[in-house]
Amino acid sequence: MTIAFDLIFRQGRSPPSCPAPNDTDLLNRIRDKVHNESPAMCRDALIRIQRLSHDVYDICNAFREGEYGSGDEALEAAIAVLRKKCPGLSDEQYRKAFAVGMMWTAF
Amino acid sequence: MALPFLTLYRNKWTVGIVLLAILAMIVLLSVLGIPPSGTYPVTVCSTDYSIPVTGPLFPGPAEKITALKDPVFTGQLFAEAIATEPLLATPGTQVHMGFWSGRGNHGSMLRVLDAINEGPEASAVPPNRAIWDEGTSAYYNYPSYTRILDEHWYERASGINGTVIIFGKLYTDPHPVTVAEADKIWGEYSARYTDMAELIAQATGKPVRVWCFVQGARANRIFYQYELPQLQQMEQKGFAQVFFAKTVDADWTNPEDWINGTANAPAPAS
Repeated sequence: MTIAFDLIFRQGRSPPSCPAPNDTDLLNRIRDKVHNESPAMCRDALIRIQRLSHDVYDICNAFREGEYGSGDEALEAAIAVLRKKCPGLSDEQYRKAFAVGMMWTAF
Repeated sequence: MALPFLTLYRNKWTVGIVLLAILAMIVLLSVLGIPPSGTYPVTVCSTDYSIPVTGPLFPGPAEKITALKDPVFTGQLFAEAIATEPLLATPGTQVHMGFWSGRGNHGSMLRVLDAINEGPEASAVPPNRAIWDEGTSAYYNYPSYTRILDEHWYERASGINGTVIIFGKLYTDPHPVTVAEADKIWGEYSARYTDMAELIAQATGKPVRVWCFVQGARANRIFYQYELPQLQQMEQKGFAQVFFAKTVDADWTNPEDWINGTANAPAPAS
């Protein structure tokens, strides 16, 4: 999961519509790094992180439109929604995903 | 007078020493980063973009915004662009610039970028080249773009009580950042990217062709706030021809797929 997260949110930094790298390429990159994990587990991790990338896009859009209020409380509320929608990640990963989502939605 | 065999050895030693000296000079010049005399004469501002970045950077937002608002930054970006793609400053090259805003449009713009740079028009005479705000292709980023990423503006804007975690390490931010400041930084960066159309058009002798995928984009985002006003200026001055995709599948070679001119730009989504 962490490897899938890093590929999409740290190294790619590309919104969900980005054609490169594609799913096959991403999956191969994940499997290259975790030889002992099953292909199904790698695929599940990729799907979950891709879902996170879609969800964070919507949440950041809503944040920008003021749907969570304003100030630090709004930011924490948005991250809490993300945490609820996509459980199982670390607090740092939620914050990183939110920051990247803010960059995607800035444009 | 030296014996003949000594003269032979002395000449070999002399040649060897001269060759070693030349080799040492080449190594020294490359280490110091002194450019060859034929380097294209482009104004490069004195900021340290050539210094390798080794970790997160924490410049102040006000200082960064000031630097990005300066037209000198456009010259810097242009210098970085032609360092990886000299054809962008070669007379005759048809240069294309890509813009996107809103969900789903990033991928469409990259598709057009790749179609131009990797299709038959790339090797036509004169050649075509396409760039975007991140770099001279989908693969080569401008050093300034990499640097702005390394400054982690949105991570810093979503920090807690002046602290931020970057790559698993907790930092105290000496210059805490707001979301509005992070938006302004990326906005000014994008505006200066847009202004590159002028330098490119002057260098190539041809207006830049601008391809925008902005269907469904919102008015309060970077495209409508920062890029479109600059595109309007570039168009008025004759440095750019601006096209807006009618659909996400728009083909840059098919005029029917595009709306022509900033006067006909699609209205932002409400």
